[in-house]
Amino acid sequence: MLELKKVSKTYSNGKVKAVDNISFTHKEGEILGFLGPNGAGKTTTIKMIVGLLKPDEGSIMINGINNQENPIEAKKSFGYVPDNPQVYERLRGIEYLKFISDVFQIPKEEREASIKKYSDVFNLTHSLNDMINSYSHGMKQKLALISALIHKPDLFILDEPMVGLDPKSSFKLKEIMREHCDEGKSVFFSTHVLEVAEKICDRIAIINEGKIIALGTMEELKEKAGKEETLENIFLEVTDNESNNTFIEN
Amino acid sequence: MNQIIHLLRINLINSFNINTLFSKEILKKKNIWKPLLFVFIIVSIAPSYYLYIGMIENIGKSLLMINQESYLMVLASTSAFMVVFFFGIFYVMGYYYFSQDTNLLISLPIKPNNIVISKFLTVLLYEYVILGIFLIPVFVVNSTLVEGGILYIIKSIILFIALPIAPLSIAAIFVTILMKFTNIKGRKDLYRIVSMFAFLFVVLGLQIIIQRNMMSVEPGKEQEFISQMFMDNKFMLETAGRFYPLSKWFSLTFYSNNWILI
Repeated sequence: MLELKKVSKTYSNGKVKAVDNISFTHKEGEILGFLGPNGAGKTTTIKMIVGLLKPDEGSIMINGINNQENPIEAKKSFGYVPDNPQVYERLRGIEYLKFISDVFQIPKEEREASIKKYSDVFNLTHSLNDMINSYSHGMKQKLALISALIHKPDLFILDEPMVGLDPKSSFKLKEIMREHCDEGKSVFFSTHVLEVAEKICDRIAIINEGKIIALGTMEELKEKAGKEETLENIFLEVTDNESNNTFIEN
Repeated sequence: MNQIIHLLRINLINSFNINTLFSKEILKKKNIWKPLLFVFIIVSIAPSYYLYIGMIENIGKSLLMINQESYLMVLASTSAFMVVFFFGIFYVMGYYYFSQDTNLLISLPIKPNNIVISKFLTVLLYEYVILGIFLIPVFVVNSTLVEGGILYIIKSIILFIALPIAPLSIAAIFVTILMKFTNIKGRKDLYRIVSMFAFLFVVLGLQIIIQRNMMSVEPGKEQEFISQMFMDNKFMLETAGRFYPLSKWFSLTFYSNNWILI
């Protein structure tokens, strides 16, 4: 579904290594949580996956398609919600969703059914005819979520999706993520909310200073830590440089 | 092609704020100041625009008296090219480099060429709005000078559509080069703005020098200059055309029945 092989990215003419030789595979039907402190390389990794940044080295395969060699085909198979969705402010919500549907060439009936389903779930149906510039941050986030789900992507990529969402919408989103995976599709998301990651993720990847320092199921991470701990404790332990070495050795 | 149409459609709705323009909300009490402000601006500009039309008429009549009416279109097209170029630099920079929708569009399965073309067409439509205000009175005044009929109207429409493409493309190439070479760490936005203004001042300076020297007559050759003007009704057009070939072709088209030239 998603496979990163030896991917690296540097900024400032190679002086700052944002992502350093990372490799992992994200399987079908799996929710993979991507955790890490601020500036660890989460957003850079996601941006490379969705084609917003070009990796300096390595390859990214989405559904078996190399996203650098065949970007258009690769982009057809995922839906992406950025950390700060930039949508056309002077469009109405429904116009924006129709535009996204047109880009993905979704038939009218299917489009209408998808819009109805997800706008009902996120309680946005009554605001779809309003201008987007009248929306709150949370409503824009919901619109971005609907637009990413509208074409039923095989891979659902989210960067900090819970930010700005009310508790009910967060709950609904978690349900949608699980349903999505139950249909044999995948969800890859970054978050700072460790409780959410612990509850819904099938596997967790922790990135720090551009390197993947932990990857596995919750049980595997606990086993590596050598004791029964919460994800929060494991996260604090692995992102602390001294304890990190011990964790990796384990 | 479909992608370009979809992109152009949302670009136009977003850029020209069409939803607000045709919204019933705008007639509500709290928003009524918006249409009123619009009417106020139009009324304020109307006298200046009337004076502008009068000025074009006077220039046209003066040129007709010296047998050089074809020079009117050289003046108009040269000014139009400059207007398109100056506005084009700002529009291209805004639409291609500082636009917030770029990240969204890149993550969608849209061919990069289609994004570039749709943005270019949006900028072009902006230019047509400005050019329409500026050039339509010139076309109308010129039609009275050359006694233009249907063919004149067709030529005017074709030339109006074609006119901004070349200067806008030059502006786009200039901005692309500018952004590439000012991609310097630290104050890159500052470098870009300073470079852009420096370039505009250089262009403006060159224009002033060219305008000053274009019609200068060597001492003792004044008589020859005046007689040539009366003998050849395209004399000034040809002289200016040495400096502004695009304006020359543009103007010649109005006085030619050759469709290949058009």
